[in-house]
Amino acid sequence: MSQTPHQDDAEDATGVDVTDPAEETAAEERDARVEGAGSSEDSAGADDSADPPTPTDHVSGSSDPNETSQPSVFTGVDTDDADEADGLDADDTRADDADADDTAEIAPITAPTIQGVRATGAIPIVGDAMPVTGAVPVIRPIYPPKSRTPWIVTTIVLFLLLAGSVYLGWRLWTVNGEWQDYSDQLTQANYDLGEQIAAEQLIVTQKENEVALLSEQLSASNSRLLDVSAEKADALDNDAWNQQIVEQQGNQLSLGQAATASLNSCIDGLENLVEYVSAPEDEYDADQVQDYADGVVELCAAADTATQNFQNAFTP
Amino acid sequence: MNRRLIAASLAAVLALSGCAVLPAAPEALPTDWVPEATVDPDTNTAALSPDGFNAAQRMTVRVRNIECRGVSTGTGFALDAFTLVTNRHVVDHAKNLQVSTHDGRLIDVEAASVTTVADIAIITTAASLGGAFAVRAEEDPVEGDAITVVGYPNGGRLTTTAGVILGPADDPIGGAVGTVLATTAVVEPGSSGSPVLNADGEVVGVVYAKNDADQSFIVPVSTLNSLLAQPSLLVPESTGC
Repeated sequence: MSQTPHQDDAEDATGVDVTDPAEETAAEERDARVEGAGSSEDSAGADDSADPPTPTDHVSGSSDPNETSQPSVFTGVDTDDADEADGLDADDTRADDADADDTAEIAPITAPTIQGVRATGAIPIVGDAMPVTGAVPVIRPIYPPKSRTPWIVTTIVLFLLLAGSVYLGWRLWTVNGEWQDYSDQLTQANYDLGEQIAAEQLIVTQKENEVALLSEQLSASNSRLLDVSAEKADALDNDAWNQQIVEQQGNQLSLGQAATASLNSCIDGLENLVEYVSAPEDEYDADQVQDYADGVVELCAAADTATQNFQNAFTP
Repeated sequence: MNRRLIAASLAAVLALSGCAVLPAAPEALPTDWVPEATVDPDTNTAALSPDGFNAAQRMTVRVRNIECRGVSTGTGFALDAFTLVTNRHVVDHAKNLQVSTHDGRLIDVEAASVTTVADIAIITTAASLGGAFAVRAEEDPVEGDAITVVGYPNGGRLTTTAGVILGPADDPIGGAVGTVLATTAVVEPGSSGSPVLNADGEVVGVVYAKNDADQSFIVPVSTLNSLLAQPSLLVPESTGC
C-alpha cells in the first residue's frame, strides 16, 4: 500500500481507515499496483543501497528523494489491510536480503522490525487515505514493544533487598541474643553488687553506731578531762595559795615566837627587878639595880616591837 | 522506568545503609565495678584532732599568777610552741607564773613582756605548749560580726562563749592607747586574755575587761599585730615580791 503525501496527511489527521467495500476494492487494486512497483524498485535497489531502507521506500517505491524523505505516519489499518501489508513486508524482506548481498561491503543499517513493521521511527501509513464518512471506528493503538531491562533490574534490586533483609534479620537476631546475654549478666552483677552494698551498708551502720558511741564517749571523756584539768588547776591554785598561807603562818609563828620570847624575857626581867627593888637596901647595889632596870626596859621594848610585828603579821 | 529504577536504587541504598547503623554486639562485662578504696587518713585531718578537742581549745591555756600575797588566774593563747598572749594585768605583780593546758599539763613560764600601749603581755614558756596555734586575722572585726570567746572564766573549766561585735568603745580601764571593741560575749574574771575568734577561727581580738552590763571589751587584733611587729614596744615584766 502506498499513498501520496497529501493522502498521508489526511489519514494522519483523521487517524481512521476507510471500511467501505467499494473503497476496499479500489484499495486492493492500488495495492496490486504498488506491489508491481515494488518489484521494479527492488531491481533498482542496488542504487539505493547506500541509504537505509525505510518503510516509505518499500511502500511507495518512488525514487523521488522528496517523496522518500517525506515522514510517514503509520496509523492503524483494518485486518485485511494488515494482512496485505504483511505480505508486502515479506516480499520486502526478501528484497532486503537481496540488497544485503549487494551491499555486503557497506554495513546496512536496518531498523528492527516486529512482524514486518519497523519498531522504531516513524510509523508508516499503509493504504490510501479516504475521506471519512459514516461511523468512525475505534482505532486500536499499536504500542512499541516494551523493554525487559527494567524488570530485570527491578528483580535484581528486589533480590538484593531480600538478601539484605535476611542478613539484617539474622544480624539483629544475633546481636539481640548477645545483648540479652549481656543484660542477664548485668542484672546478675547488679544483684551481686546490691548484696555487697547491703552488706557494706550494714557494716557502715554498725560502724556509725560505734562511731556515735565512741564520739559520745570521747565527748564525755573530754568533758571529764576538762573537769579534771580544771580541778587540777584549781588544786594547784589552792596549793599555791596554801603554800602562801603556810609561809605566812610560818612567818607569823616565827614572829609570835619572837614576841613571846621577848615578852618572857621582859616579864622575867620585871620579876627580877621587882625582887631586887623589894630587897633590903644593903643587899643589892643601887647602881646595879638601875642598870638592870634599864636592861629590863630594853627587853620589854623589844617585846613590844616583837608583839607589834606579830600583830602586823595578821594584818592583811 | 527511570523513576522506578531510581526508587529501587534508593530503597536498596537505604536498606543497606541500615546495616551501618546496626547496634554493635556488647563487649565483655567489665570486672572493675567496685573502685579501689582511696581513703587516705591523712587527707581529712582538718576536722579532727588527736584528742577530740578543736584547735581553739587546744591553743587556749590557763595562766596562773602566783603573787606575793595571793593567786590569780587568767587566760592566754598560743602564738607558737613557746609563746603565748595574755593581758598585762594578768601577769602584774607576779612572783611566779604558770600555764596549764586544756589537758592539764603544767608549764612553767620563763619570762613575760608587757607594753603600755595596750593591755597585752607576751609570755615565753619553758616547754612546748602543744600543736595548735592561733591564726591572726588581718583586719579588725566590724559591728555585727559573730565572735566566739574561748577561755577559763573564774579560773574554772575551759568554756566557749558566743557573742557579737558591738563596735568601737571607750576603754573602761583606761590603759589602752588605741581603740577597743565592745562585744556581747559574757566573760568573767579569769577570762582576761581569752582569744576572740571570728567565724573562720581566726583571732580577731583579746578579751581584757567587762562592765556591769555584761559587755566585754577586747583589744583588736590590729593592735596585737602592731605590737608583735614592733618588739621594742614590749618591756620585760619584773617578778618577785
